[in-house]
Amino acid sequence: MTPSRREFIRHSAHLAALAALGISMPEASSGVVSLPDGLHWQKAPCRFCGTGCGVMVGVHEGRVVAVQGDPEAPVNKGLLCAKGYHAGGILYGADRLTRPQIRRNGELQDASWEEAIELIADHIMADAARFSIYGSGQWTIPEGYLNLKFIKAGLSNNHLDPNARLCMASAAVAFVTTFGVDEPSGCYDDLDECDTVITWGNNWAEMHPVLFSRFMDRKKALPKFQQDRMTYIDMATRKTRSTQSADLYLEFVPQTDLAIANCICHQLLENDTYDKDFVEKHTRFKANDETDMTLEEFKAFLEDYTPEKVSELSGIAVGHLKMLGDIFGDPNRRIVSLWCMGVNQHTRGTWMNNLVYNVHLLAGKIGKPGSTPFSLTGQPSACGTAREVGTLAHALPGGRIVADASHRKDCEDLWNAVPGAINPEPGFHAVRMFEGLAVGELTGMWVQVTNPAHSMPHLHKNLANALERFVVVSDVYPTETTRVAQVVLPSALWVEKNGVFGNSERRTQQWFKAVDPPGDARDDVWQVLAVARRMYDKGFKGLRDRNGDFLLAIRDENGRELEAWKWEVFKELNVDRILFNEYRQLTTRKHKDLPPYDVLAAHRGMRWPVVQDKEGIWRETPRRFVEHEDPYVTEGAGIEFYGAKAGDGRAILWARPYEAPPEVPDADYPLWLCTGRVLEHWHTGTMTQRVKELHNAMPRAYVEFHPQDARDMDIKDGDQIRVKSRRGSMVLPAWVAGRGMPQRGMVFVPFFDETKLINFVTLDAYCPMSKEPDYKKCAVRVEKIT
Amino acid sequence: MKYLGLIPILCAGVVVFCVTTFGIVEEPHALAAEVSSESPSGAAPPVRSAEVDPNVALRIATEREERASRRAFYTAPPVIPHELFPASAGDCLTCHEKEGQYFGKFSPVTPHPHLTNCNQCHLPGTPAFKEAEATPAETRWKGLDAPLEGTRAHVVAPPTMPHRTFLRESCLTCHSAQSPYLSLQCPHPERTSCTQCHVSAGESEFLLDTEKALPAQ
Repeated sequence: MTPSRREFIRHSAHLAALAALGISMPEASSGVVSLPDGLHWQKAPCRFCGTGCGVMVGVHEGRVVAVQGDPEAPVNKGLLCAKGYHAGGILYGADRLTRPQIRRNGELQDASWEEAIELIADHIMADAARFSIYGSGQWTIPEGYLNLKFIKAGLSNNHLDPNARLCMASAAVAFVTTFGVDEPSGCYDDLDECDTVITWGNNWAEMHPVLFSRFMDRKKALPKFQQDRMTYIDMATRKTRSTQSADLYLEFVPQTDLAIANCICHQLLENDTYDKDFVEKHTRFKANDETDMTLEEFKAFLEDYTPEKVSELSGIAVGHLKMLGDIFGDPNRRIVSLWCMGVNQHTRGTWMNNLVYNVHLLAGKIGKPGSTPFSLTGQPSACGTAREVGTLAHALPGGRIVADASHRKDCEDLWNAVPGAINPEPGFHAVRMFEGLAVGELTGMWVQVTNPAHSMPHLHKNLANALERFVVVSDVYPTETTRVAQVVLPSALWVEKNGVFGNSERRTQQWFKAVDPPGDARDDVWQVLAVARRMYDKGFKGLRDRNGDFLLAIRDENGRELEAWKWEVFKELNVDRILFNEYRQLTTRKHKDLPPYDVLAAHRGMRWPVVQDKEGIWRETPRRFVEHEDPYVTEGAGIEFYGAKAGDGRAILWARPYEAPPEVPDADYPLWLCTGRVLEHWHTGTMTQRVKELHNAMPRAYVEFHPQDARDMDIKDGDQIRVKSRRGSMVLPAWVAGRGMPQRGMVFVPFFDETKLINFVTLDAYCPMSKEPDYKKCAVRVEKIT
Repeated sequence: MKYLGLIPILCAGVVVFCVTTFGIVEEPHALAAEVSSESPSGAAPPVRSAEVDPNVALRIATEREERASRRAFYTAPPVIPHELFPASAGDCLTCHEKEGQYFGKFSPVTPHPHLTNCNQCHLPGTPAFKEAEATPAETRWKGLDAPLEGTRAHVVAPPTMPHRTFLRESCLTCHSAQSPYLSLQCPHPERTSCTQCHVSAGESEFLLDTEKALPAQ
């Protein structure tokens, strides 16, 4: 029975009936009896956050027509969030960039790829040492890897940093300082095993909804009288949708999370409820100045953090602080701590991450099913690309750093690069990069897959003079950043290209291209190859390898060079497969082993280290550092933090004190400003604002007030409010106790809206260790515009 | 086998019986009862296009369009077709734990009561923040259309479900006898074990042969 015949007959019957009434058929009904022939589904990770949900992309006649949660995907088990379901829509915004553009006489005008590639190659060659690449945690792994190789070995310049600096740097530096190696030991399975979740300044109901419901649905599936066995405690500075499902909401004064964590540690030691066996076997103590400490000295450091004193500082009741101490001191409780930007975007973000680890290490709540500190990530490949590939100013792939000669040699050897090609001097980190661009220390920048003219803090300062520099932007829609570009390159997006992402739980996920990019849009990997090859052809020495061949050559399995810099050749190849299989050879040094590309292709992501067992089967690692799960743990060790720099397998508890924030509300600027996200939009909204359903639900940004503050200031919903700091101001409509409710004396503004750039107002103070800015705290005043 | 030739006659007889006994032309399920142009026996039963009441067809078409307008594509979670109170984001179950009439409208029961974070997937159809000045998103998105209806093995066979049951475990969410959509109403609400007769064509026919999405290792 052919659907088309049935369809025809059915359709005719409808039309005949309607024609009799003189009515034409509503459009939606001219549909189909069954689903169309040729509709097919293929796997991909979701394009948005670091959760890394598996989706099935429905493709028909060369277009994405549907997106479903993949029921077999272990991350999400068939469920998605509103953004994920509508991810297909991001490909089809009416203003997709489809032609390269070059700024001429102050205006961006259509140009050919040939002109654009030539112009970029000439500019980089003219001043390669002062050129920079600002990339992204949305780069696929092959994209990040190729860019790293291009700039670090090809241009011998380390001015490469990702936007992940603005979101994950504190987490990464803390992993390295505490455990000696980046990325978490736990995984999402712990959410299925725990009885308690504590969020530290994190609104996971909106930002990581699939993980939120993974815990919450399990809790609510219990009979009512048993639900109390599962507890969710929300510690935050603002009530959110997460708070609505919390068993307890603990509101603290901004920045005092440092003291709260220390207070929990104080009680564990004072009450003698810490896990003595675990602490004895697996940890050591260090002071802030990196000198060793004894347990007694560490205890003395914590003396000031009594519940009474911390209560005064933080605003959390003594009883609640004691309860937190008791919960962590209860050996039978399985606790997952979760955090994201509240802890990371913090002028002491690294310390705060260290402190959450202190709490879990002292309590022995790590490396056990259902007990782990777990750092959530905001971008789909902040882990996979920015952190594992190492697209950072100081880093090289696989946990290597440019400052280490043997690390440089590993890379130069694999790439057949001339010895000494990689510069040992770290480049500029993101904030420094924009300062450098503003004053002319950098003359050019290639921005890929990100929108810094919207997302950097203190935009007046950080984007000053950008139009006078040679800024190249590879993107899919016009953004704030394309406004300051000299060259705009139209890119392929998500399933318009092959890709590999790495999510928060060390899961590396591969997908194949499903549809063609629109118009003249092309893959970022191709763009880099084309520019590099043009430079090579023009005689740029850095792009020659030891044999004088093209440094970024894409070779087939027989070592024959493919002309991948030609689009006609590139689009018929799977260059990702070649780049990934090259990159994975650099992943074993710190036991971050990745499997071959074809193995990844046959799985719904695998959590590294992925190691081949005796039977030749590639096995993933659910929990790292845990014997019987992680193949690198010494037999009989139980738990072993084998990344430890001292080589003793011990994690370090750091004595990190409370430190006041750099800017606090005062008489002139009496309110805190906290910025953040909403469920409907992803980061700067360039993709999600083009999706009808998401945009309709949350069309514009707002400034959110506590109802009492609003009453005191006579502010009502919809009043136009100027939010003003020492750096700049922005006018937004007021929403009193809307989606969330900030604490008294605080206002909240989401940052997705390009028509209301709150980053003109934010502060660019950053964590001195991770260089990550604090978007959550600065002082503002508000003025009602009548 | 010798009675095989009687099947078309019997089928035609059943149709006549249905039309006369149940007054199918006024009945919203007229289309659902329509028979295929091809039957397994190879003999073509009559196509009853002449019997489609234009009012019913219009109603069905309009209802389809209204339902489709709430989804970006077939299988997308529908947007919420009514106003929300900002503070009640977690309180959807006040009205949707069981079906009923609230604020003068029919409120369907949630089809997936084990999922409790409703706003994770269901967006408000109009901005919760009413003061926002909204210009519509300009998009060339064209989502997958829903299949019209299930198939029947023969003229009196119960129709298959034309969709997956994943996240639609409760049939009565859409097919309640109280549903405002006449074209979806269950004609025999006294029968409660839907899957006894109606199998899902969705799982196999339509969607997600997920192993096909992966190449062999």
